[in-house]
Amino acid sequence: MGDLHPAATFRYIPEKEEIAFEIKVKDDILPESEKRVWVIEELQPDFMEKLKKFTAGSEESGIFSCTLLNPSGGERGIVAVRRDDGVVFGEIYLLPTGDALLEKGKEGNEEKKIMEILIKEMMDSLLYELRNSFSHIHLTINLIEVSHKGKLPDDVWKRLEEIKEEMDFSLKNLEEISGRMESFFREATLEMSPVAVKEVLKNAMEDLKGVLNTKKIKVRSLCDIPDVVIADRKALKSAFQAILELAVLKADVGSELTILCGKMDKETIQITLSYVGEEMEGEGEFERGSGEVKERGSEFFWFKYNFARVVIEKHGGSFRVESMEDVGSTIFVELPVTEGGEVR
Amino acid sequence: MTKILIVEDKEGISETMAALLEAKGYEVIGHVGLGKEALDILSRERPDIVILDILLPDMDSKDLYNKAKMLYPNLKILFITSLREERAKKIIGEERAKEIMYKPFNIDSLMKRIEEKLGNVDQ
Repeated sequence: MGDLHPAATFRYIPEKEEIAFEIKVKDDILPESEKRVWVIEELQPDFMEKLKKFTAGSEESGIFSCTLLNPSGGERGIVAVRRDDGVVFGEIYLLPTGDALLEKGKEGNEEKKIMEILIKEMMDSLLYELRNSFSHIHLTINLIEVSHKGKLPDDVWKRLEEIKEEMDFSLKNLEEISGRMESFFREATLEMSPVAVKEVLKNAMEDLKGVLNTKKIKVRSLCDIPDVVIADRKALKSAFQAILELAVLKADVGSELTILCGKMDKETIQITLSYVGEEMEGEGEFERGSGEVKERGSEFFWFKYNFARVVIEKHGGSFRVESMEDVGSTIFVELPVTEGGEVR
Repeated sequence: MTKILIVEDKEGISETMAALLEAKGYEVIGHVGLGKEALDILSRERPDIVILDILLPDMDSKDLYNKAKMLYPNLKILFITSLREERAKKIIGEERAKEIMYKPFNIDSLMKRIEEKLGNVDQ
């Protein structure tokens, strides 16, 4: 991602309640397909509310964040405003889209990986030098003890013993710090703990009630399993939500989602989510950069799909979709019951 | 008298170790910093034990170990290192993990390990 450029600028004349936009969409902010003419009706109410609040005040300039309608879904933006001769001039900066967020996430992981390697190398190098130096000091003290036995006063011997102890103590401390730093970088991504699948799924559904109601979709859930998986609760819930959102997006208005949970075998839970509506076209639909974005929302779709897949895979599970033309799709999620997968 | 060869590129450690071991009654036949120098000494003289640093500037310590063992199959070798355990084992092999002594150490623990290697005390 490049530097942040304004996605659009505008002029607002409070007296006439008139707003005029100049579009300055940059490719690295929004995909080409999302370039659009902004009209006042497209902006969420909190934009106008906050703009009017600034206008009513006396500050020369200001900055506020707000929800800005975006076909990729739920985007937020930052608006910078300044007043000049009764007119408010503003710049809108869109926060990264789902696609860009995922890229940013990848960058973050990469940076964290680099940081982990750097820290490990630096600590290894420091500890290596210290162990050598301390070894030298230990042996030198030993040599003094051997060659000067009985010739040095007691307080000198005492001090030499203290030095040895202090060295051992500080080295042990440093080794512990090094271990903690490494484990932070190694484990920070997911916080694994025992999690009840049924409960997480239920929470994910509760948070999506609004969306389900909008499309008048009913959920039939047969998930009465007591099984526990080792997982990051938040990440797993977000993955389940993403899967539900994918299904809701494609499902017909007034249709039904069926969620089934069960054990495939002793070690694996399978969760299936079926819907009737527009079928998911398969992997090709979700591949980033596989062609022109055909419809509004496909970036959002790709992001959600990949997010869910990555999280499930990070938990040692698998994620796939089977579709039937003009009927709908079933999403299959499999998770290991007792053991998590890759914790990193 | 037990003959010892020290192969350690940190000169200060190597010299101090040699002085201490001699003071404790061992015969240090050499203390060198390079694997090549160690092989040179080994071609002329047979020590009872080699104290060998895992990281050498001129050769793989595992190679030196193998060459020394070819010359004297019953030669005792004690690896020393400042590396962390996992990396040290990776370099010399898991099967030789018990032959490593980790720094920092003092003369008493070094002597104990030498005697264990020579079979003079129980390991």
